Amino acid sequence: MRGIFTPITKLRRDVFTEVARFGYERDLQHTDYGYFYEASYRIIPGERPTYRESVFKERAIIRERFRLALGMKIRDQDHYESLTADMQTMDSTAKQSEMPIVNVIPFACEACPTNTYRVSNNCRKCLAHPCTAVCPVKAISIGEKAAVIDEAKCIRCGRCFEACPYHAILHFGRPCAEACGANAIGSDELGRCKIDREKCVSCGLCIVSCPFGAIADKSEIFQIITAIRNGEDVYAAIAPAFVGQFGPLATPAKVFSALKALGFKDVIEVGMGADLSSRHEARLFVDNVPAKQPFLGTSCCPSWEAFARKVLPGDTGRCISSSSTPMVATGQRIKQDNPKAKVVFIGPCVAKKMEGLEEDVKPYIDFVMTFEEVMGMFAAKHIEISDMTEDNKAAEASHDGRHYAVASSVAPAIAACIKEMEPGREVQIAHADSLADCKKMLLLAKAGKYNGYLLEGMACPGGCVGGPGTLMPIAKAGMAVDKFAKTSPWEHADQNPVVQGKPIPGEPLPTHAGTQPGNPQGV
Amino acid sequence: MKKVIVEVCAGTRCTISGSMDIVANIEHLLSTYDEEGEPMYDIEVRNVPCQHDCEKDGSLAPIVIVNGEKIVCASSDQVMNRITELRD
Repeated sequence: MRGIFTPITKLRRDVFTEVARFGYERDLQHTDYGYFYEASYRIIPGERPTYRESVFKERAIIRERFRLALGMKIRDQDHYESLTADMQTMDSTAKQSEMPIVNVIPFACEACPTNTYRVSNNCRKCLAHPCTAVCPVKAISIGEKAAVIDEAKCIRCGRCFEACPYHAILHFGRPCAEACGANAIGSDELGRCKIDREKCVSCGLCIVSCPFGAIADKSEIFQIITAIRNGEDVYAAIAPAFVGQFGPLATPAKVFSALKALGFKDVIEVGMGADLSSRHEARLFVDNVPAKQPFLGTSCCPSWEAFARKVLPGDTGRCISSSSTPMVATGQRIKQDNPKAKVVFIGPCVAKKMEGLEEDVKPYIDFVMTFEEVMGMFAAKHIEISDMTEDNKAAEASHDGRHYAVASSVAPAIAACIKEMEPGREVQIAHADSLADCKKMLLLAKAGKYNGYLLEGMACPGGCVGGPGTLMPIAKAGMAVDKFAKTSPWEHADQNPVVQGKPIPGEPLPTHAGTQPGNPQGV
Repeated sequence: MKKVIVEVCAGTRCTISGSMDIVANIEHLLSTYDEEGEPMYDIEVRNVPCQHDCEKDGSLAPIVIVNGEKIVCASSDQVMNRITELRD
């Protein structure tokens, strides 16, 4: 559940912490992968089940979570496959994970009813019973004690639900399906959740919405730690949403120090890459809107971008910017300065893991991990962030770049650059957060309602601070991001000297237009 | 109604174990009012640095101190119950 600490949150974080501890403490020459059998007993101790019908099932689910956290695929349950069969491959200092990033653990799914209406005991069997009057298929009748819905006849239109004055009709939906703005959740032959890979844009909101914790994403913690222990130059590129995520005493300067204590060689703000992206997208807007394309959509959110290309057919799909995202721009900068660098993007985002698998992104971004996963590394290595000395490194990002993490901040950041390039030009802006709202915006754009506009889309409600890999409540996180942004010496991207004189990412650099991993032809 | 001081550990282990979600829940109490419109609670919430108990045993997190009394493996409902008891 987003924003509420539940036993599922705890289990997920325990798994990350165990994987990180294994990564840091194992004997590199003689590794015993059997660690994870033992660790499943540490996470689920005792003989009595706490969450499900049996302790064996609880541990089996934890072991499948371990596989995903180590970067492996979920095992089929109809034949034997060892828990650690793929560990030799995973034991690597290079990227190993593949699509799909978001996975259902089928036997953890409780096969919730899909879109069903039921009568609760709020029903007073009233005289008026408007429920029967509004039902278009006569599926509802008044029984001995209450209204009764004939599920065979019911067409799930919801009119009885709206008509009942006692709110006695309940709607059952699957939390995963309701969280999914891409309508990608279906069912397998046993009625369990199944993700339609053609529709899924890897936003990860189903992961944090499933009340049974049956959906999880792959992680690269283990390969990252292995690269660090191998003595490689591993850089942390930290997304603007990081501020406040590690608790109120973990100031940004202490977080930078703490990341170095994990073994990262240096820490770079992705807000700097955001400034590069703002400048580039401003250039695209000035050059192409409205002469060559009716509107421009932002590129920073990979789920929004993938979703927009699915919703908008053909030529209109090209109206979404294909400039390198802040993540990629940051990776490019780090690798310009140190070609041996390995870049780890640390963010709130599951979709960035998908973006990281795109062929034209791979050269710049080696790994992607979430704040929750890096918190597991801090816990495993016993790093107390509030005890760190402050690393007061110079600012790398403008106010606007640092503010990218909050919904409806990206388009104004770009608009500020457009005004600088073309003084006097008024930029019309529309924005949407959540894929459901993005879809509405895109359909209006397709119908020509947003000609001449700059469109900002974000898959997560609230923007990146509401991402599935975060630790803090959204409102608090947004305030912390805002406070840190205000400490930047520069207001807009084009005032940031760190990104001046550097090539604006674009032409010689990757365009990941429509190439989603696992779907190389684009949509 | 007595004032209750709640100190919530904001260290790494406690944060990963949901201590800030406990803070969010306690803060909700601050905006509960009785029928006369008077606030129902007088609480001061403080974020305190690592208490170092978790170094010996990580399962002790999160740690919350309510009027000087330490609660280990704290949960929101446990802490709110204690606040309600101390208030009356």
